[in-house]
Amino acid sequence: MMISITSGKGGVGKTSFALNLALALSPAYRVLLVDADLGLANVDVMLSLAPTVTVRHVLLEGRSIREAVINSGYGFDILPAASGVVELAQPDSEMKGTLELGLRELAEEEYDLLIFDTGAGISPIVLWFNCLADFNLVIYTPEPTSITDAYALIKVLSRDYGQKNFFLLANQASEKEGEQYFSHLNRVIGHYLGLNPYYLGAIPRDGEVEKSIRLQKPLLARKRESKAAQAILLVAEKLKPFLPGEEPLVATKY
Amino acid sequence: MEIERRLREMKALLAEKRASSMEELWLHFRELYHLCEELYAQASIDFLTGLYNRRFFEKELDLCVERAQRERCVFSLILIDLDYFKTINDRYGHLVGDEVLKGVGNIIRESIRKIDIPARYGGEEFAIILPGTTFEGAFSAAFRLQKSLQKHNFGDEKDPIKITASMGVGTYRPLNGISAQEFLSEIDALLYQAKMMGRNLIMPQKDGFSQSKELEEVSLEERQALKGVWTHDDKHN
Repeated sequence: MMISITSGKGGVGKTSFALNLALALSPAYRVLLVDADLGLANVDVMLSLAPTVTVRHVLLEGRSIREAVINSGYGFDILPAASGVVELAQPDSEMKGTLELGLRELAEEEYDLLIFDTGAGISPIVLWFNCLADFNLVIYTPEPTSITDAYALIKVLSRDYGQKNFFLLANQASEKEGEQYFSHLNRVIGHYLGLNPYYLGAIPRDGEVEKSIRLQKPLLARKRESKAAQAILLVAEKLKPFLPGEEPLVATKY
Repeated sequence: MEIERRLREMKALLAEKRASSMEELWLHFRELYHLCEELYAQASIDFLTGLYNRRFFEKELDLCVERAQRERCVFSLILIDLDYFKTINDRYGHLVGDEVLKGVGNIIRESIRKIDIPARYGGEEFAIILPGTTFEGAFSAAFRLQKSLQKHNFGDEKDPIKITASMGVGTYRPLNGISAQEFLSEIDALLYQAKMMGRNLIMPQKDGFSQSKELEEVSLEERQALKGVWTHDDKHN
């Protein structure tokens, strides 16, 4: 199964959340975190890793995708992106074909879950990763720009690309804020797009999150008892019914 | 292979100068002509107009659909049928009719871009695939073509021959997930409607305009509705 973590707007906490979600779900689930911002690597930086083989070698030099997969040291695996490789910002259809084949193979043979940490914006490669995923987890913060971008992304993905299974997650928001924002946003999405996204909850503002980023160590590995970490664990619990091995559920039912 | 063999036979026959009568020579020429036609067909070119032929068009349409689904991109299709073409054949004869078809082929070629794929789809039926083109782009291309056809005189000054065309225009969206054949039928139905409604018409795909506009951006109305998300107060809940 594949889930994309996406947002439209940048800087809302995609990579940080993706990392901690991967940590929360492993080792109960075999998780591969894919750094889907192919030309501008983030995930390995967040973990202070220095991979020698990246997606660059897979797409431009014909190495096998398995060679690029590394252990994060936290129970899940990573497919690292390249840093500053312009050719990978908009891969051509041949590269996309290679990537899709490789990712599908990994999803079928080695992992229960692939998490795509997408780049910001709605560039073709961001849309491509979202379309490849079974579920699109859209993160927003309680700001007008972030909410508008999240809505625009959901609109493009649903109307232009037929994506239907959306999760919504409020970041840097209190539980109450998150619920209020969701209930209103959900009404707009229902009215104009005819969709019923599934709400995963809110992750509160927490100084520990930023500290973790600076220390290049995932929050869940550092301060599992912190507010944000507890909220992320709760989100992971809410996601579990959708993961393989559990009773299958369809997000649009909610 | 078959064509090569027949061409070699023909060459040998002609080299031997064995034709005993005009009639036999005539038969040879006809055979040669058919061989040329077949060669062109295999080279995916329409013999008369120099546009792509139907076989190539259908193959290309399949590819476009596959590419659109794989790369999540759109392309457009224009189907064109010349109005009352039969009367030209009846009145001026088939040679003139062929000249008109050739002329239409040239006009089509001149009014499209290099990346577009123009084809003669049937007798007086033409088709243009416009890769990576949204509905607006395709519609304006059809409109340009309509104008050029109307302006052109296919006869001479003394006896002008004017021709118009009916067209169906639509955009393939991967979201719809329909097959190439279904898409072709959809646009063909539009062409039929254009004929029924009096000819010399372009029939656009239903919702063609509104969809391509709305897909591009979040509308003002939606923006207003979204505003409520961050300006709400507690009485909403």
